[in-house]
This record gives sequence, C-alpha cells and structure tokens, in this order.
Amino acid sequence: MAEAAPLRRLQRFVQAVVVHPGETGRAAAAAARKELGGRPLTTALVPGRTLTAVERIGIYQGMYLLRMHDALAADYPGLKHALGDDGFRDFVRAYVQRHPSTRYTLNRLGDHVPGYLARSRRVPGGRFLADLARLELAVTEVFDAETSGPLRRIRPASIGESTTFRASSTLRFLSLRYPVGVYLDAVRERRSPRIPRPAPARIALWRSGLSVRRLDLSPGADALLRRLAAGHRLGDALRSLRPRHRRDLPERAIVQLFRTAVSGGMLVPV
Amino acid sequence: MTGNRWGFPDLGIGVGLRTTHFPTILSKWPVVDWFEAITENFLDTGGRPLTVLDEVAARYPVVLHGVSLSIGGTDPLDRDYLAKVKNLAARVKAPWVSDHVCFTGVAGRNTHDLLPLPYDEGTLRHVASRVRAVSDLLERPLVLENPSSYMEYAVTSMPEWEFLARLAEEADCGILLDVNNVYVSAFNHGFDPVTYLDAIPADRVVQIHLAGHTRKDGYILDSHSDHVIDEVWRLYRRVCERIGPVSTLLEWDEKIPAFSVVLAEANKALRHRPPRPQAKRAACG
Repeated sequence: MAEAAPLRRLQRFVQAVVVHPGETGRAAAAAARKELGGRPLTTALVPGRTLTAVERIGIYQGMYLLRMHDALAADYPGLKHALGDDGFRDFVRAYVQRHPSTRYTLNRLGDHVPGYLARSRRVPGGRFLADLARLELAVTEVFDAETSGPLRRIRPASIGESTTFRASSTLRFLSLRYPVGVYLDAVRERRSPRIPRPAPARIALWRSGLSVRRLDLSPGADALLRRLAAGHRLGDALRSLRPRHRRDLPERAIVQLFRTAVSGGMLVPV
Repeated sequence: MTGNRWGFPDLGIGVGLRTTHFPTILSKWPVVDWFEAITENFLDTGGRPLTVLDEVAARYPVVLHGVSLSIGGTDPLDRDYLAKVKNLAARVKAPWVSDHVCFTGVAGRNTHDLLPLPYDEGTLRHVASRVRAVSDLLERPLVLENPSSYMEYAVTSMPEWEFLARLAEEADCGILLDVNNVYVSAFNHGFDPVTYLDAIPADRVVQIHLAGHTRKDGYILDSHSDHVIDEVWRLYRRVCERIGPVSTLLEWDEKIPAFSVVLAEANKALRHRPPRPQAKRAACG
C-alpha cells in the first residue's frame, strides 16, 4: 500500500487544521510545519474561484466545532444552561482538545465530561457541574442501555418478606453532592434555576418502556433499593438497614417506594 | 431506460428517518415508500431509537446510510463497526448499505465530517481495495455517495466524476448519486454539473439523494436545511431521463420542519420521474 503513505500525511495535515481550536491561518501554518515538512499550504490545497485555500479548509474547521457543540449540547442541556452559551462554547472547545471523538458515533463523545469537569481547575463551580454532568451522562446511558427481555410486572400487594427482585438491566444508582435532579428539571421546564447549595442527593435512574425515569431517594430508600437490586430478600434487606436509614422509611414510605419501583419496572419480583 | 446491475429495486420516493419525526411516524404511519436511517444512530443502543427502527422496518423498506465508514481513510478498517453494520442491515432487512467517498479522520480520531479525498491514481487504488474488502465483509456490494466539498488538493489529477466512475468499476460498487452535492460542489469548484452527471455510469446508480442547501459568502454549504431548489430538480429530471427511475430520497437535517412538509417536498420528485411500478404508496403494516 505504498500509495497510502502520502495520502496519510495529507490526511493528517487536513485533520490537524480541522480540529485546531485557533484561527485557521495559524492552524494551517502549524499543521504545515508538522505534517508537510514546512512546505506551504498551497502545496497541499489549492484556492478556488472566490476563496483562498485557507478559507476553504476553514469551512471544515468551523463545522467541526459546531458539530461537537451540537452533540454535547444535546446530551448536556443542563450543563449548557449552567455555563451559559459562551461558557459552554469555551468548554466544548477545550473538552474536545482533551477528549476528541475516537468512535464511529457521536453518542459517546460526552463520556468523559463528568471526569473532565471534576479535574478541571479552570471551570468555576466544577464540583456542581461535574455532578450535573454525571446525572446527564447517566440519563443518556440509561436511554441507550440494552434491556434483558420483557419484565413481568405484578401488583405491589403480592410482595412479602421472602420476595426477591430482579432489577431492570437499565437501573443505575447515583450518589451526588448536589441536588442536581431538581436543577435539571427546572432547565427542562425552561425556568432559570440558580446553582443550588451542596446537599447530598441519591438518585435511581432506569428505563420504563421507552422513557427514562428518575427517582430521588432518601438515604434509607437508596440503601433498601440497592440491597434489593443486589438480590437480597425484602425481609433481609429491611432488617439489614442501619437504624437511621430504617427511621426514614416509615411503612407508608415503603409502600409508596414499591408502588413506584415495581409498577414502574425498576424492580420485578422473581 | 436501464436498471442497476444488481437488480436493487426502485423503492420509489423516501425520506430520512429523523428523531424529531418519531412521534408522527409512530402515531400516523404515513404513506411513504421507504425510509433511510443513519446507520451510526442505531448502533450501540438498545433503547428507543432501535425500538422505533424495528417498528418502522416492520412496515416500510429501510436502507442504511452510514457516515463513519471512512472508506478513503488510512487507518485500518474497523471490523467491529462493520460487523455491527452487517448485523443491523440483517435486522432491518436493508436492501443495501451506503456511505460516502471520503475520509472522516486519521490516527484513531473521528472528525465526524465527510472530508474530501485527493482524486489521483494512488488514492483510487487505495480506496478501491478498501471498498472490495468492505463488500466482502458485508457480503453485499457497498454503495457510495459523492460528498459535497469545499476544498481541493494540489495533487488531484482527475475530476471527481471520473474518480467516482472508475472507483465504481474497479471496486464493483454501487453509486448513491447525490444530485444536490453535485450542484454544491460544481458551484464551489467551478465545474459543469451536467458534465458530472452525464459521466456517471447509469447501471451503477442504486439511489439518488436530494436536499436543500445554503448560499454563503463565496460558497454554497450543503446544509440540508431547506427546500430543493429548481436547478437541482432540473438536474434530477435529467438524471432520471438518462438512467430511468431510481430510488430517491430527500434529506432534511437542519431546521427540520413537520414531517408532512418533508414528505411533500420529497414527493415533488414525482413531477420529474414516474411513480414506482405497482406502488402501493402506503404503509404495509
């Protein structure tokens, strides 16, 4: 494949310009130094009737960032709201330099966003934003998750102490430092929420039919559902709860929890 | 009048399957000849998109159209990706699978753009060998689309239409002829679109794409964001007169209007080509 070698150099040059975060002329000069052995851009690309060679490849460069922006904005509407339009654009520009797409789908472009935000010192409110991104990433993961066959649903009234459960294969539990679920709800309802104060938040996410469902949990409900999802019998799970967790689960809270979890397809008695 | 050499059927007039239209399609099952699905949107998902695709495929013919094959790339072919494409094609009973004559990235990176190739002998041999490998893996002839483009390489030694025609012959692949892309590239590069279209081997054309575009300062952007302009319709008519009726699809990907608007635009193609023979023009479910 001898003919592939010059083609590969040319492709590396084009890509280097397209993904460069700066002005096109400087991007092309830098890429030419690296990939064309210092030869000028015009040895690789020719001008057109109305545009220079730099302007022509600049069209691709501009579209690249727009495409990355739109993909991340679709998966992270809450983050976009929290950062504002300009802030989100800056975030995208920096993020795709650190975590460019290496997959055939853009659906996985945002997989590193929570970790990136948690590590970033340049983004104010990084901890809140990282929590918000964890929730939004989990929503997309649950949206795309494989399901393991139809779940049989029964009425909560037939559940007893010895009942065990099978959890939906889409079920995810999140433990967060900020109440980001409420914030995300407000964004979806086109309100303008303020960034909340830190407060521990526990969330269950799963898919019911084609819809992603979220349940904000008390510490006791979180502990109970995690045990049941792990295969513990109901009676054992309840008895193994810490006293403070058991205290925030009065009888009516348990009934309500099962009504939601079982009828919603999160847990199925087996 | 000629048909394509593989006997791929004329599916009639189709539209691109887009998420924003899912509720309309699932609730009304509109009268559409066929749908084209973007392949990558339905890989690695077990959720709503795949469920909807299954339901649509149960009622309409569905063709898969990829954007990440990178057939002109210089990284090794992604066999895992190709295996998934093959499985999805079998799942929806896709009559054919298409992608673009382009590269999408290099050195493990994907720009998710259809970056143009230089049109020279070396690139032709390189791409043809990859097309043959992909067709073997998919166990069906690959169908490739001419992309719209905004830049040209200094090493290019033949016009795009010659490259495409020779590629189709040497790699034994089909052509998805995007008439709007020909118009866009003709403006951007200063060639005659009729010369391009007349040079395409008729028996290789399996499908036609139509779309709207956007005029910018000094170039045309293939934005898929508007109605098809009259000049593109005239070019489409010329193609149909030369090669006969071919499965035709309207793409609308930006500022997407209601499904009825997209379908009405697609059906304008019937002013320029005959309807599909014995077409039921109704959902079969």
